[in-house]
Amino acid sequence: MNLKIAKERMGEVLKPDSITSSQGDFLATHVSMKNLLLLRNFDMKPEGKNLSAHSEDEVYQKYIRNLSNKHQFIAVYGQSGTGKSHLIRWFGFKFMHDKPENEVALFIRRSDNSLKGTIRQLLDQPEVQNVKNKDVIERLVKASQAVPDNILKETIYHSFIIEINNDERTDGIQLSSVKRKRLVAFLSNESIQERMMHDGGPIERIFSKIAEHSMIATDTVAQFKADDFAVDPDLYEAMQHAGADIKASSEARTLLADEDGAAESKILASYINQFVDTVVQRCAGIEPGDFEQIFSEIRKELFRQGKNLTLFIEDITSFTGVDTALLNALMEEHTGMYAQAGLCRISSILGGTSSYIGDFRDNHKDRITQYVYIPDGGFDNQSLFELFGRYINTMSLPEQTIAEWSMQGAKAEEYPVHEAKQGAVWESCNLSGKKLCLYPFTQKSIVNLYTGVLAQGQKTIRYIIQRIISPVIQEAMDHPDGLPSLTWGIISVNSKLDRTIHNKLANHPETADRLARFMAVWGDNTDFQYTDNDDVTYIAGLRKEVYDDFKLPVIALTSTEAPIPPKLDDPERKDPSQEDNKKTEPAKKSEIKIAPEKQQRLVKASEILNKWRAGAEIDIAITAGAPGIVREARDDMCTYLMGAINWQVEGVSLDNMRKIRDSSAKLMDFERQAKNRTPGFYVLPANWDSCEVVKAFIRWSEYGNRSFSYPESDYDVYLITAWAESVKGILIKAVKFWKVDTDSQYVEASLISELYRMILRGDIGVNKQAKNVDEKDILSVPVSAVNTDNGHSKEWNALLKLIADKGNDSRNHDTAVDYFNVRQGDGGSKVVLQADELSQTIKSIKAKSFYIAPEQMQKEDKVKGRKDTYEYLDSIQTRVEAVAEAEKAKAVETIRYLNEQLTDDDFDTIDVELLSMLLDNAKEFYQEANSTQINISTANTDQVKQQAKQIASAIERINAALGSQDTIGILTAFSDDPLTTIKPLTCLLQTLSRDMDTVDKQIEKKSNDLGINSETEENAEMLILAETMAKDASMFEEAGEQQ
Amino acid sequence: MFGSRMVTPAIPERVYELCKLVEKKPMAVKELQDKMEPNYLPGNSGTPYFADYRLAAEELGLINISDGFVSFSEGNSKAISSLQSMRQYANWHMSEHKEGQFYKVTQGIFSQDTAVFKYGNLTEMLSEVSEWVQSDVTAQNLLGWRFWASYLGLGYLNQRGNSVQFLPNAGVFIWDIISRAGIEKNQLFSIDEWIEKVGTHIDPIQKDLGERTFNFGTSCGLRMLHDQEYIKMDTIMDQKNSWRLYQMNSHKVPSEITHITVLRG
Repeated sequence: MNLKIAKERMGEVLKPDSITSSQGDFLATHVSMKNLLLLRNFDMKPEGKNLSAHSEDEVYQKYIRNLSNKHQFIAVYGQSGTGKSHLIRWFGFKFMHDKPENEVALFIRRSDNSLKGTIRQLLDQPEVQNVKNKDVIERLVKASQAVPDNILKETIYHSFIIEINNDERTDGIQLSSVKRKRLVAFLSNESIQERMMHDGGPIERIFSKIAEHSMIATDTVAQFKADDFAVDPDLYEAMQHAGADIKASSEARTLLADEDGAAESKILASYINQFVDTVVQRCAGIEPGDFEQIFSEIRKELFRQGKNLTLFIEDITSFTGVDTALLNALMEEHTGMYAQAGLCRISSILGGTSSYIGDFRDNHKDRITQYVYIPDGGFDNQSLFELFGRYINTMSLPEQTIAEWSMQGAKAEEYPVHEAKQGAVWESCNLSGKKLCLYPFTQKSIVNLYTGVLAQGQKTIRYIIQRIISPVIQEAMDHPDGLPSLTWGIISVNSKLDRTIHNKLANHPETADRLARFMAVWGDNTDFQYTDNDDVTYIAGLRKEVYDDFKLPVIALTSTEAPIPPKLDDPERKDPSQEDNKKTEPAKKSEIKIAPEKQQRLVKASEILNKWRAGAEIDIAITAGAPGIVREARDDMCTYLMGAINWQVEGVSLDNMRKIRDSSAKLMDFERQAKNRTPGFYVLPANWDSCEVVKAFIRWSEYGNRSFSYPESDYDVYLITAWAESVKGILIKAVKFWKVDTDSQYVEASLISELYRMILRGDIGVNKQAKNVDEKDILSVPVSAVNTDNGHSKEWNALLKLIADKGNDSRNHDTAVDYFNVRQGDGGSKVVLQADELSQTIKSIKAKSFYIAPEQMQKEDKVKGRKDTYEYLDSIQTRVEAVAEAEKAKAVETIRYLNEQLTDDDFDTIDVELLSMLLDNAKEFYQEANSTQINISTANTDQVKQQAKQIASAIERINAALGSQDTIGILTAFSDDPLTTIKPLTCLLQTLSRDMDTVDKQIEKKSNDLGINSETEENAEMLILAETMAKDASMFEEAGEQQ
Repeated sequence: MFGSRMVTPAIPERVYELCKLVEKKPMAVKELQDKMEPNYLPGNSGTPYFADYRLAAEELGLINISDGFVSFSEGNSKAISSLQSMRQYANWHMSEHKEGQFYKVTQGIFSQDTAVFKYGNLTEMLSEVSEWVQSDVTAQNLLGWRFWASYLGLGYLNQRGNSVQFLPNAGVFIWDIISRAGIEKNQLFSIDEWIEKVGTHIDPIQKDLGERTFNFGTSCGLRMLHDQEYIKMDTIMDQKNSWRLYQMNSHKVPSEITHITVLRG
């Protein structure tokens, strides 16, 4: 290459649109097409249908030259950028030299790419200078030249709205009136209009066919696409923000939906495209009739001159809006029923994209006499190398040299070749015995870039120039020490080579990356080197010297014998994308072949990782595509770490790990991970080693289908096992902590909650103090249904219910037990306690008086399961004080009643002795009553008698609790429901009171009946007994009322 | 576990817990069992696991059982100062259990190099393992093996759902042996000297020393220790004696090594 000349010439030569380059450059870069398919009927994708391939010269001789001088219409079609223009221009160039004298050849370029520009080209042809009404047509063409772009675009946009609003057609795709109104409202929305009119949008595409100076010079189809109607949440929000009306919002919502939206978009695009011709014509100010008339006049003029017409139209899309009229004009024959019209014979060669030609009406398609199809990806290796060689050679030669060669007939044998000032030792391609230097490319890089950079549908000359030749040469000119840049990612991964490079250049990671790309894409991607018979050393398939041209270090690889590589410029190698790169590798042990699509997935994921390593954020929020692959690898890494680290051995309970596994916080996340609301426990640093580990997991998943059955998996096993060991310490610390340097102590909260549950359920046991509880007390309380039929306050029972709400009691119990269970993996039905740690933890919570202050609660723990444990305790702790007070309040009246009834100065404590006396007195009372024949039944005192000890104990506990301020002590005192225990006593006292009252009344009545007074001794005794009983009865009644 | 057949309940953490409970004073067997597997917990009825892990502790020489009492083996206090120290103790003494199933299975698996990780699940290689150790090995035996293999640092488990795959990398095991062997720090030893120092303690993972080739799991372990700068492996040209690591071209350490230097201690 000659970079000095190329710097001047690059812009002239590397034009994606062949028609814009000079004649000389065009001919110097033209590569003969050899795979043209000929069809009589239109076929959108005729590849693979056993059609013979023809060279461009065959097509030219057989059809284009038109030696039989007949009317013909030839459509050259293919995907955008396949070289239709190149071919038509080459046909045109050849035809100009071969045509008979009476043949007029008109070439309609796409360079002006607008309807009016195209018409003007026609009018500029010398043969039509005398055409009838030329001045009228010229005025028509110049009519709207002064309209500013933005106004013209708005006119186009609003013309569509007007057409939709007034659509009264009865054929084609139709929308209901409601639907049309919704569409009009939608298109009228400010956000939607902005979207439709943005660069590259549908209005821009249509505008390019009308405006005089549009920059779009490709065969863009001036139509709406379904994607133009896609609405995403951001756009919908913008519409709402801008005040979308109801109908517009309604349409947007339909388009926003996943499945319905896609279908609706297609319908709307098809519907609105029906108005494209009308809108284009209106905005261009040209009617179809005008156009047919122009052509008719031209043909008549030529007929008058005794001439025939051969018309080359590079791109039919330039005629958007009047294409139907154009076809009508061109298809009109000069013989038969049209003989009287006085038209010349016309041979038309017209180019168009497959989809555009496919949309022709059937009667037009039927009248096309020959279809010439250019397949997508139609380059064999030889053609590719020739293409690159020709472009590099042409830009390395002065314009004058090329022009002279062109002027002298552009003979192949005289094709000028530059002297390589750069890359003289680089590979070349052979062009009829002439060597065209390929620097800065190698044959491998050409094949790899063509295969890897260009997607299906982009394997065309235009994309080759735009995406490969131009940027690589630009890099070679500007920064040869940066080539290959990150743009040229590795296409096929040789992990061994990659790692070898990075091991050897561990201190220069960026150079290592670049060298890896160079060896993988420019070289043969093997980890071998050899020296051939000419004493030239090749490293990874590249001459040792070429590394220096890109300022890359030379590293030693495994030596091997020089191979006999199959020649890449072997014409029989048709499809580079199907190449097996390993064919060129030195002998290697047989390996399981990894499917190319799997390799591609790794490559795409590697690109994300490389960018991340270079400083970019990594976004794995989405599950599809390459980010999805990386995301899956992250998840696999988390799962692996969960099993590979022996957590229990490291002092992390499996209960803790289960809670972490079930939380939204991942065990591992990436450094600079975008949209990561809950950071993981271990942050994978953005470095080469990390990327290698991630890629190992991707290979395990992709290459091995989630196994290690794939080549070089042994190193991946080493990588991931060593990685687990290296991150173990950090991870263990991280999962033990809930925040920096602070241990998670959720199990303490769990145990305290268990204690409260035990107390509130009444399971702590009579006379058991909280400070005396042990492992068994806390862990053995089963989870069962809550019973609120008791003597407790409503506050107590409300808390009891809350504790068991939604299975919280069960979950907390499991936490308390599982935390100390030494489990055998996920198996084992029995609980083997970590008794020592359990004992230590109970000591700890006792030391804290079974209380965790709100500020010490770890309620911001990102692990929900651990946080919930604190939330649970908090919900209990915030209520227990009120519950204790409520219990005391309920007990205090009963105790006062009992004290009033049963205690005095001599007996100030209700104990078993006092209760015994009470029972004796009651017995005596009923005996006396019976003996005096007072009619009352004897109250049953058995229950009090039998439970005297418990009753006395309950009263004692309640009394103690009433004087206490210790919440947990109060709750413990009330745990076994002492009010229910003493209930038989209060009942007995109430019965006694009632019965004494009855006795009192009956004595009084009898005394009155007998006229007894107290004067006699006998009478006096009777009265004393009666008074005593009356007094007791009165006291009980009084107390009963108070209760 | 180590004397005869392997069982799943005898996991190292339980052995350790048991040892800790009797470390200070002997305890009646029943009392110890009740402490570790209390009956008050639901699910703890039926045959306890206790006998299995008690036996494992006994086989390792950590406890003695006499007259219905379990006592801690005198002089081994340091061995249970932590689970890591118990691991080092167990690794050092593993070569004493040559007749046990654990030793044989470990040696058998390591001798197969990379063949072991072609099995997605440990239990898939039952028949092969039985063949390698020339005795019948059951799924339960292998599942029991994995707990100790992971604990002793013989490799890492790749667990996916119910599948457990063993990935050999004996770095932790080798480091325990190096540490226990008291190999001098920062002193260059020829590979033969090094082998002599680690002695038979490396036998459980390296069946045939005569071949002078480290198997995959041992090579991974050595490479990991090298990469994490616990040791340094060198190849000094013109040395008479060398050992071959498992061929791994991507790794920076060449396959042929002649010297080892211990960097930490």
